[in-house]
Amino acid sequence: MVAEPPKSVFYSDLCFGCGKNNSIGLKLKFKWDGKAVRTEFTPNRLHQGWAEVIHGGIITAVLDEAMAYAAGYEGIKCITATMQTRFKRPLSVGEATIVTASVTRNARRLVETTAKMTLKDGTLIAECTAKQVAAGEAEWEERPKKKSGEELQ
Amino acid sequence: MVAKQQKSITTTDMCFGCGKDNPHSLKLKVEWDGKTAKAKFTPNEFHQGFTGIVHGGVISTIFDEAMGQAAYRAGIKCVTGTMLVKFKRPLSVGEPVIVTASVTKKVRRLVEIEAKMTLLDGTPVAEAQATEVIPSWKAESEG
Repeated sequence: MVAEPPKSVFYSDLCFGCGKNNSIGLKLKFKWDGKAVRTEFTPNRLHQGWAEVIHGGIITAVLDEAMAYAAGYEGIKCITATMQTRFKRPLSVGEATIVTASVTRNARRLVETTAKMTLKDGTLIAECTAKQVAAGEAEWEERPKKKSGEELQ
Repeated sequence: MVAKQQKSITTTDMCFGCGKDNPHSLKLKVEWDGKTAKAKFTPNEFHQGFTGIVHGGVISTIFDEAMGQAAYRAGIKCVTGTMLVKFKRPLSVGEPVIVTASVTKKVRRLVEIEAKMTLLDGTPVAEAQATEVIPSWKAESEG
């Protein structure tokens, strides 16, 4: 468990997962349907681990980001405390994926989230569960836009 | 567990974790003492999640890379099957860390690896455990 989670945290345009000003970032954009976030991610050559195989760390980063967004949409800013990722099938450069994530439990400061990544035909690539520690409410004005289906910047 | 696909498992200079030709890569340089892979890493502003705090996904990537390299240096080429990361303390941009990783068990095609990340003074930042798989599709081209 995270010993001392920060009292407050702030979104950044330089976020590795979603920051629009991060030149090396994944630039993920999520949609929220009221229950889950969803994004599409197509890894490129810069995301390899072994030749042509996407780095497990990149897949983990995408899932971590998605889970943080799911919590954000529920109004909680969270820091990941523990996270377990299960890789089901190697992902190749250029293979388009769909990523979804949602909050499964919200008990005051402890938040549980889950995420998965599939190919467009539904083939499971990886799934993940995490325990997160709340580090402040997501303020209305900086929270990811609430409206269903709207894309975040 | 990881299924099928792919015919070979080869290194590339475009690796996100260590590739010297990948402009976005973490360029992790691992030292190997025969048992443990060790690397020093200082996260920069491009590695943040929330403002000033390093992204959990980037820390996980460092772990995955270090654990993969620990296996590789021990003569095993594997892919990650499951990875558990426990975060102990938020890491700030600019804080140098030491990451170490070593293979703890190898049974047939399954490889267990553990890793930890600390500040230079030994303060724990995070730790990781992975079960990696030597793919059945592996073999052939070495490199």
